Formats: sequence, structure tokens, C-alpha cells
Amino acid sequence: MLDGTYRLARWLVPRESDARDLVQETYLHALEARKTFRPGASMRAWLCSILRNRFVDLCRRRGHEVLWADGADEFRNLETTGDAPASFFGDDELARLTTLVRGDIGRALQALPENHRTVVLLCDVEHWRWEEAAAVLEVPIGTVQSRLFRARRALRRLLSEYAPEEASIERMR
Amino acid sequence: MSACADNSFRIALLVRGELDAAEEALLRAHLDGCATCASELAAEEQLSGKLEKLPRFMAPADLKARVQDMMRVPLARGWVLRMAPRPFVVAGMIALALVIGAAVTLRSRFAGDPLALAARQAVAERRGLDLQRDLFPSETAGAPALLRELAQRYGLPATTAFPGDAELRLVSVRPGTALGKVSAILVYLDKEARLVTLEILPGNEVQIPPNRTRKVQQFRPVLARVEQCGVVLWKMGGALYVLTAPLDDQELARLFVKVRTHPS
Repeated sequence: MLDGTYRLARWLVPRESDARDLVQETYLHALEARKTFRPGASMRAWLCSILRNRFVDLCRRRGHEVLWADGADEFRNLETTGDAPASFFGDDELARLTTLVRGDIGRALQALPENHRTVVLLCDVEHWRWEEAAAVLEVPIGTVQSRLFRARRALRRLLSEYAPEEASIERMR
Repeated sequence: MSACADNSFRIALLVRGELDAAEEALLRAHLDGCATCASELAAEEQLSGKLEKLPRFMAPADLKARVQDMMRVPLARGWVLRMAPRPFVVAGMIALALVIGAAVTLRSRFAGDPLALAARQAVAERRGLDLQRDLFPSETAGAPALLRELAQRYGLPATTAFPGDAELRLVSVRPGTALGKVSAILVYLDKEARLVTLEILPGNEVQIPPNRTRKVQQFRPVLARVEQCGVVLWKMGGALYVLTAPLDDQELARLFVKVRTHPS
């Protein structure tokens, strides 16, 4: 469960240190507010809902643009240098291609508004149930579905915008 | 089959495997003869494929350990459990976890300046305490015992610290961590219900450069401001004292003199 919370944090904020802070704040708040958890509800949805609210607070405190401008480089470095699945090591070409794809999709995700980014992460990356995503986003299931639909449209458009840029970089190498 | 524009959402559901058999069969029959919808399906599948290749971040082991420690604090702090009412213990536990998290986070950022680090840690601690003010008891019957415990266990001069008065009521005493050491935190509320904290920690190796101090009556403390919160730092008897209060400099200096000169 902690891994899922951390992953959402990592995709919400670009700096790893901010992601750690978010996760710790989330668990502290959960500890403090544990009586508000409804037995039978999804614990991970409850935690991610807290995390998302902490993230909104962080944006209010520090300014959303500042948050991304400060740490974007660190995030992109990580995307292009590390965390490749072990199965890709030893196959340089496949690893290089995978890295390119990651760079694309990562940047496209970053470009989405937070509520669209979160719905993609929860529904299409983490494969959560609609009702769990609805609990995190605090909207009805129908809204989650339509938001996901719009977010995927936006992602496809963004990816098609990035594609020529990547191709020209490749030609220059 | 309805118009192709209406199929986009169904195609998205098909990619997710969420169409029932009848709907899927109907849509697939349409896809066989419609290049537009087939292209939509291919684009959706390609996007899903890219999303699957996103890195699966895993929480670092040290973060996992820290979060687990947070959850274990109530058991580890049995001596507090014995001495304080339950809400008080919960408040202490949360505050301690918050301080540990803040200490670890801030340590790396302010490693070169222990005074700035101590000030920021105290303000971070204060922020956590402010969230728990509903849990503070109206009377702190256990405070003297906790102060003695902190003094005996960690050699902190907590028993001689300002014990509160009618203007500044002591509402909580708790252990904390600052600069990697155990500290004693005294929490007060003033007449306007503003939170004031006094943190005491071993400070033998902390130096206060004279050029950072300011004259306040006969004393020379460091006055700082962190996130709009006033902070006063001074050393006395080998301990470092950090006072935080949401006051302007003049009020803060007056409060410092009161806390610093009380007859112990």
C-alpha cells in the first residue's frame, strides 16, 4: 500500500524529496484522522485521498508552477537515466527505446492538469476500480469515467505533439 | 450501430476490458468495417501500452522504515503512556513522528547551519502541535512529572524552564527530536490562545556567532523569522533554547525576556 501511495506522490510532484514529504505527511495525517476511516472502505483510496489533499495544500503554499519548475530537471534525469526494469538491462537498443517512450509519456503526463493526471494514474496505471478512484477524486463514478476519457484524449494529443520533437532529436544524433 | 463519434467511449471501455460480451461483439463487428473506429482503437491501445511502460516507483526502504516507525511510536513510548491521559499521548506521538520526519527532511537542507535548522525544526514542530491544540488538556497535571522524566533521562534542564503563569499557560510537555538529539518541548497558550513553544536540547557543540545576535535588555539572543513565525534562540548552561511564537519582534523580545528571566 505504501508503494502505491509513494507512486502517486512521485507522479504528482517532480522532486523525490517532496514525494517523501508528502507520503510522510499523509501517514501522519492518517494517524491523526484514523477515526474518520469508515470500516469496509478502501484503505488505499482513503490514503491517496489524504495524499491528494496534502498535495493541493502544498501547491497552495508553494505555487504549482514553482513546484514543477524547481524539480522538473531532477524528474527528467530520473526518467532518462534510471529505474529501467531489470529485464531491459543488457539490451541497449530496447532500453534506449523504452527510455524515449518513457520520456514522452512522462512529459505528457506532467503537462496534464492535476485532476486529469491523477485519474490516469489511478485508473490506467494502477488499474484501480472506478469507485476507488471516485473516492480519491471525491467525484461520482460517471465523472471519473468522463474525466479519464478527456484525459486520455489530451494525452494522445500531447504525445503527438512531442513525437516530432523526439524524432528531430534522434536525427541529430 | 450508432454514429462513430458515440463509439469513442465504448472503445475506451473495450481497451479496459469493461464491455460486456454482447456490446463487445457489436462493437467488434462495427470495427471490422469502419477505418475511423479501428484507428481510434489502435490509438487507444497504443496509449495504454505506453502507460504500461511508465516506471513503477517503489517506496525506498528507508521511507518504509520511517513510516513503520511512526506507526510504532505509541508502543515504544510506554513511559509517556503511563504518565499522561490518552489524548495527550496521541498528540505526543503525532508530534514526535512529525518532528522526526521534519528533522530528517530538514537536516539535509540546513546541515551547514544548526541555528537555522533548529529554528526551522521548531517551527515545523509548532505547526504539527497547532493542528492538535484540541487535544491539549485544560490542566497539565502530569507536566511536572514529565519534565522530571525528561530531565533525568536525557539530562535536559527542563525542570528549570519557564513553568507558565496566568499570561502564558503551560498546556503540554513532550519529548521531541532536534538536530538529531532528543529534546524537551514545552507548549504554552497565551491569553489570545496563540501557541507558544519552548524547545530545549543539548547544545554544547552549537555555536552562536555574536554577529547574528541582537541585544534584548541584558541578553543577546538570535531573533529570526521562519514562515512568518517569530523564533528566538539562545544558549544557557550548555543547552540550546528555541522559543517560537506568532508575534512581532517587539512582542517576541518581551516574551523572550519573560521566559528567560523567570525565577527558576
